[in-house]
Amino acid sequence: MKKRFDVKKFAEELILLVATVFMLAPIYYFALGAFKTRKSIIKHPLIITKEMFTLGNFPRAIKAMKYWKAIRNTGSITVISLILIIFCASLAGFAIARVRFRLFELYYSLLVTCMVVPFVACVIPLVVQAVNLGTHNSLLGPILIQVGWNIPFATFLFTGFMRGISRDLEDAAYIDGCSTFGVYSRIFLPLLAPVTASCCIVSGIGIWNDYLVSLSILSVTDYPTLMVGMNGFFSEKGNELGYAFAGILLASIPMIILFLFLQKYFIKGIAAGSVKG
Amino acid sequence: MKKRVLSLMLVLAMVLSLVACGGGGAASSAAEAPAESKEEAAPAEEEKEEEPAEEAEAPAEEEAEEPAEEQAEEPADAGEHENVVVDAYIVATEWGDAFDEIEARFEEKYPWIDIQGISRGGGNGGEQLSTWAAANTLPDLIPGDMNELCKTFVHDGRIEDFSQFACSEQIPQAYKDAFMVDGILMAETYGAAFSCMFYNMEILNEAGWDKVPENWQELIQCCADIAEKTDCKQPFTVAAGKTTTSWMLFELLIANACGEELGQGAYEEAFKKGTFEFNKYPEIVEKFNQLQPYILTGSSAYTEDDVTTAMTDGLAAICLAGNWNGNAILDGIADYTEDPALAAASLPCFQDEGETRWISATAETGMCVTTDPNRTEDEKEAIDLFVNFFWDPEQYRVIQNTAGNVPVIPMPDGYVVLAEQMTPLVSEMGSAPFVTMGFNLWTEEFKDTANRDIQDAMSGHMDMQAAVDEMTELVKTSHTEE
Amino acid sequence: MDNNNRKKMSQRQKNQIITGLFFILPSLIMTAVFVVIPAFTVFYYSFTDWNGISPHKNFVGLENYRKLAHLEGFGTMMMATLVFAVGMTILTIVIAFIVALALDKKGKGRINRGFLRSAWFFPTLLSGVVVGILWRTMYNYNNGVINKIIVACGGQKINWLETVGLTNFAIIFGATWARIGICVVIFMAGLQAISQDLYEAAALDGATAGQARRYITIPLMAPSITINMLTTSIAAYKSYELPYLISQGRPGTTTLLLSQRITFFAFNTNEYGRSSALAVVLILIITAFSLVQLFVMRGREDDA
Repeated sequence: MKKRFDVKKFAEELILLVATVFMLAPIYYFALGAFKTRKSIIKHPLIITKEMFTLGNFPRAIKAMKYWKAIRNTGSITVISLILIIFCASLAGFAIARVRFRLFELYYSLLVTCMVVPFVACVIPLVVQAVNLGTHNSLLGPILIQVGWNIPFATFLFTGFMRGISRDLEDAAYIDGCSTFGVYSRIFLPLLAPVTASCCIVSGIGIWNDYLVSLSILSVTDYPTLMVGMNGFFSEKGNELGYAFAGILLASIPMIILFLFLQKYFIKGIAAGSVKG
Repeated sequence: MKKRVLSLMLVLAMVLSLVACGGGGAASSAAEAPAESKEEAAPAEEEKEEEPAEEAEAPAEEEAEEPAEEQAEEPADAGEHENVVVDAYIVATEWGDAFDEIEARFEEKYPWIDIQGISRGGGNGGEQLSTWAAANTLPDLIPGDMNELCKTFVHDGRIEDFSQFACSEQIPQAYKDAFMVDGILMAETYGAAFSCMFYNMEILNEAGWDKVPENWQELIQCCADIAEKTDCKQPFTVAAGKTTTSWMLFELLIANACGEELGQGAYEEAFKKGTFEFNKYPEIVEKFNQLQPYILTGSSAYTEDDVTTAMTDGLAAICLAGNWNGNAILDGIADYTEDPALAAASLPCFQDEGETRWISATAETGMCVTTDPNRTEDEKEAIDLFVNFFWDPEQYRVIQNTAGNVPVIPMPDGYVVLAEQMTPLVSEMGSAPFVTMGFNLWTEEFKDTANRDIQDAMSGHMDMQAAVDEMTELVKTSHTEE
Repeated sequence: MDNNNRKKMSQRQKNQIITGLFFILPSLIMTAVFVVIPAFTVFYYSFTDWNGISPHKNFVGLENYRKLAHLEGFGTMMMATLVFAVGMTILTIVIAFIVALALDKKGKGRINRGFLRSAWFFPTLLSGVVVGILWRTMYNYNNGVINKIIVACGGQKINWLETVGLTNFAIIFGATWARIGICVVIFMAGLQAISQDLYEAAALDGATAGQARRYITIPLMAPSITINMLTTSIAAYKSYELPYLISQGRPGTTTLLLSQRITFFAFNTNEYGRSSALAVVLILIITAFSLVQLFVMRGREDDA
């Protein structure tokens, strides 16, 4: 009896391992490539030897992408956008989940429907709008657009989460004479950490990796950003793979760190937020 | 709970510090750079092709912050100028390093001007240019091609007439004509591009060929011999994943089928007016079908890099490519054969035995200057200076030598450095009758459909005759001129 | 006494509603200004012949829509889009579900669960451009890593990017790779939410692991499945740079997606009116698709 169990488990573990290896293989390929020259990447994609090893891609990538400026810009955009998104979405989520009013249900449905609009079709109107609002070529431009486009999904998460919180706490607070805002700030806010974390990761990744918004609104010379900078390595006439891979690694590192930190809360947050959705 | 808050705070702190010292990072890297840059800047005038001027770029970044403090040894003019930034969205990835060098030289000479070179990146920049145009923030210098986007820009009055710049007088009339739109000179080209064929002579020798094929029949025979006598069963390849090169194969077949009959320029005229009958020349389909079995599988998705690799790995023995890839391909073949003498190049030999060889050549992508009603006098002067500086033979050859294209301005002897195998081709190329490359002629719609068809025909999914029929029909409705 | 209470509740309710209105105001403004208005602008432009650049716009009514129907390869494109969206969604969800089940065993298992979770989630951290180019390089017939591995294992090289049908699978696979992390995480969350008591009760009743799975896990996972289906299919319809960078719509136009056509018309041929019309069509398709999904899944959820 025990033996059968072991074999099955072993087989499962093995399959899982193989699948994981497949998942990681492309990453291995480009992580390795960051340390090779373009020629060796194409000739010997899977291995690296002492002769092939080079650190030269990194300084070049940093220079070409204007890395420090770019990470400052992309970072600011991401952080500020996230703060605003969480602010707006948590407030809205609270109202929708807690206040029994038909209008709010309707609002919720409409908000979630906004998720179907493809961003790429709206680029030009958004650019014109940014010029009219005066937010073109300033960090405010991408920030506002990112906030607007990420609010639907964030609200979705927050609403689901808040629906799952027991009403007893809330009722108790009301009976004690707490105002609505008081309930929000004293009861809900502290509990929001998990879903905030998940929102940070999902929306944060989207904003960090965004290319089109930064490209259309920001001038490349005034406000270099990570993804736009990386695009310079890929061209029709030849991809500078070595520099590009180094650039990808450099651009992904902050995201990786963020994810490792928030990992635990992330899953709990999605749990609470989505299942009750 | 406390732990969570602590970790979150840590992350926030990290992020904030990154954001805060982002500026610090730039400052520290710039601080180290000036020491080396002063040295680099001085000998920059002399030939320094091997060292991509990485350090020399740092003063460029520094200039953005404190241009007034830079003391130039020989300021070009003593006049008072406010500091000016010129956005140059023209840097092609493959000569990015070379551009840095030119930028450094220029900024040394004119310290009040800061050139911001932006890499052109992938595609034809359609997204970038369109969105910038919508916001009226087009960079000062943009790449110019005879594609619909640029023509729309000209119609819309967004491109300056390039003839106002002194350097436009140096280039031959033919290259100017190639870029005339709406009566103005839209752009000045970086050089001439033409189609070439490259050979791995080791494999050819093995198949019994000690010289390159000189006409179509020999080409087919050569491919057949290679397939039979060596391991290389499909010796021919071309970067059909890219529209310019996939069409290249096709246009050479057209050129040699109808060129003699119609004369120079007739095909282009008819194409632009939508009256060219592709399927009036059965030779095109016949020849293609002869070659198709020898085309390396996967070529229809190949980028130019892939072709270089295929030649380097000995997967293919003959390739059709643009001269701009010549350096890389010839290097690659030499790698494989370990003997540079075994890497050969020739003009495409698609003509029948005994007939004149027609090739395809064209003016390459050029530099456009965009209009800007808010441009100050100083900015205009800066652009004028830079444009003329760029086309000064001394600077021009830096790019030309990296890009491997044929120069369009008169150059002193010894300035032009092409791969050894390519240099003899230039004079031949100059005198051969040619057709203009497709990207000057087609609409976006035609380019899209036609190239897909060619790729499909190459991979065997579509019959070439059907493709040609489709193109004949399509060009009637989708052409650039009336 | 009762009346008083009811009055109080009414007052409190009113307060709540007013505060609530203030609460939704920020998100309302942001979404209205930056999403809804541009969307309506696009809708408006679909009735013009604007080229995206010049200030001249002429109203042309339904002309753009009529032209769409005659657009070359329209049918193929719709097919390709549908195949991609459905294929990617199904593949992602099935694999993610299995993986989530495997990773959920609460730390039992040789390999560290935390590491595995991070490993599966990692591809989501990369941008679409990166993933597209990465996979394109890997699918290369002669030099690609994938074929090299296949050959090393003694197989034949596969022509990923030139074979009709296979290329569709190639882009689906690449897109799945990038998306699967998020689905796995959402499924894992859903699994965690299922109370252990249910499993214990089932075990007491003598159910096997397989039966427990069928009658407890899957039904209770219905909400997570719905979320994943919706978000993944919407993302699939909207994604354009990832598949394009892998296959450029070849062979023929069999992998050219609706979203890519939208960009083509907007940025390459300067026919913004047509691009907007296509965008409206895309929105309608996504909405219809999502509604169908919701309808089907709501039924299942209620059963659970």
